[in-house]
Amino acid sequence: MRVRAVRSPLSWLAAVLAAGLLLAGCSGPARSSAAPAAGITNCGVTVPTGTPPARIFAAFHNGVEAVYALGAGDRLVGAAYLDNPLLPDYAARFHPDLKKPAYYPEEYPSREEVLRLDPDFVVSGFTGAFTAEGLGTRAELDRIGIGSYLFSQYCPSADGKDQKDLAANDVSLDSVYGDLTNLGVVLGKTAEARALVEKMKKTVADTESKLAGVSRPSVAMLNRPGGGELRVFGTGDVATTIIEKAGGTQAFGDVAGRLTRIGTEELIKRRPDVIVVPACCGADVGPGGAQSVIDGLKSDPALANVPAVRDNRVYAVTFAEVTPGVRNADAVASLAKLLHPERF
Amino acid sequence: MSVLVGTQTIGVRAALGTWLHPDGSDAQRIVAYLRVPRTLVGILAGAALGVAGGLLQGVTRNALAGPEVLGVNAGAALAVVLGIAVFGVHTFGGWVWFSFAGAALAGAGVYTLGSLGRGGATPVKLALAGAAATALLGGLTTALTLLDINTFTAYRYWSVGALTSADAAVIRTALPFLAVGAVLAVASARALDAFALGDDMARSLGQGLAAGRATAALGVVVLAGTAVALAGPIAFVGLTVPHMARAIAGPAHRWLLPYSAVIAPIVLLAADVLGRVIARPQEVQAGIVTAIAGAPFFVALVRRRGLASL
Repeated sequence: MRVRAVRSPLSWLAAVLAAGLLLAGCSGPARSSAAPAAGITNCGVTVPTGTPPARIFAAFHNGVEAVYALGAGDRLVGAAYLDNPLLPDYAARFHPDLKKPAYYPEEYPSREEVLRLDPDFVVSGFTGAFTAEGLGTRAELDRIGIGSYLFSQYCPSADGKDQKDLAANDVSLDSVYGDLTNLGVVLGKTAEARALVEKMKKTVADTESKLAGVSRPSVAMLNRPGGGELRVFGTGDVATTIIEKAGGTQAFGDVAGRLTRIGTEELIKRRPDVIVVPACCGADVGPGGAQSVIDGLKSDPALANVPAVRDNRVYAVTFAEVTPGVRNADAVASLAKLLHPERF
Repeated sequence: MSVLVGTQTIGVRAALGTWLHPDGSDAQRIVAYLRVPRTLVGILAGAALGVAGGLLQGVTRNALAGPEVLGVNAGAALAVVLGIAVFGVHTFGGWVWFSFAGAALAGAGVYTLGSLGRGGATPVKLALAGAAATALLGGLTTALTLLDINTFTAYRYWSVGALTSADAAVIRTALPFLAVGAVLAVASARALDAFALGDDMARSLGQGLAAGRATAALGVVVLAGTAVALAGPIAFVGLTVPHMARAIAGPAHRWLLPYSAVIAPIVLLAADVLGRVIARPQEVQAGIVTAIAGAPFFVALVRRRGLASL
């Protein structure tokens, strides 16, 4: 196997690095001799559930917060790309200034930089990490003893593909619960995962119980990166699930995929009752980060008749809460309060 | 057409109602704040690119010349990105100057490169130099924009060539620049007709070669630079429209340039309208449509020998 694999320069690099790691005596737990029986399937890749990883690299906001929420934050050696400030509990334990974990504010550092941190596991909250251009495909990482997990709403059609090649993924909250449960098993935090999922389910159930019989406003969730084009969240994104659980209907319910570029005219045609703008991206970007987009929508004379703009129902949320992860249940609860304030 | 077609088709009478009896309806708001501005941008940027292409083909006596082929658009785009990245310029009034400078430097550089060696600035050498420069400048632009993804998301949208990036205020700012460009184009039309007879003949007719060339080149820079600042580096309009105009009006520049100014906006707006309807609910930017439709035209052009001698 190895002989066949070292034909490409990339594999050479991986092999050399793996050899270096072995020589340095700091490779991860050797699992070649153990029976590779136990494992869970994640995006078509088998993730072993034997010895829990000891050195975790987490890419993207939801990946980082999931590691903290499952109680494995002390094993985090590196983290990349926060969309918003971390939740206070986690922020108190996140000290990149004191060297651990190392933090990279851009999407992810170079492969060499990550390997230097010597992780034995990479968790990614978004698709791009496990590509040849990113940190390497999951098969490549596996070959050098690094396990991996990817949130299943961002499973590509095959290992190594990026977000342009997403599989037909399940965007329900059950899918989020499944990921947190599986990740708990892999990280050796089964009980924590169970408690977390129970708490999330209770939050959503409490919210839904208050929404019986409400009339459902149509909700458009959108962003406008750099002040340019409008991009709406479609039915291939957990945002749609959050809108529906919070007592709204997706204004772009016929638009598949995650994010779709639309023109201003299309937004006028849909006449959403509420517009939600997720603020992004940076460890210091709170909901206020959406303000310039909101001001732009409110001051655009072409949009003045759109119900959401006319009735002043354009709201900011954080991008982190509308990506699959530990914030989704609270996102349902807080959006429900915005959509149906009379019920709370 | 450009005012009437979109996510919802608006009738002529309803569109006119925007000015005759305004009622603040969605349809009238779409007409007044979205479709009229983008149509104006299409008319202005299209005319500017068409005339710039006609001037460039005349001044270089080269059928393959166009602001996009000779690297002028790519230079303007790189300069705008530099303006944003290094100098923090974020308004049209600011980046139009960067656009001019980039257009001028790239155009001069390509012409110099293409004129080196035996035979002077032959069509093929110029096109090659332009292709090389476009690749280089485009690469630099990409590198700069990748360094700061958030800041340049808007730029990347603009860089494809869209008629929706500019609003009424930007259009007003662009008008004087376009007027100057139009004057320069008119002033150089006679000189260009003389050039078409060859340098010796032109000189014997009493045309100042250097002055005529300089006027036309300045016109190209101002027109292409303004068009790029308005709508992004839209490809193939400046290259192909002068050939359409030449087929209708003949080679005389006093006719060729006005025809280009009329045909180019029609082509660009047709591309924009097509882009609005082919991928609903998304919109395909006009620059993408012109590139896809223009490439085969360009190939056909190169293969037709008759056009090579200007």
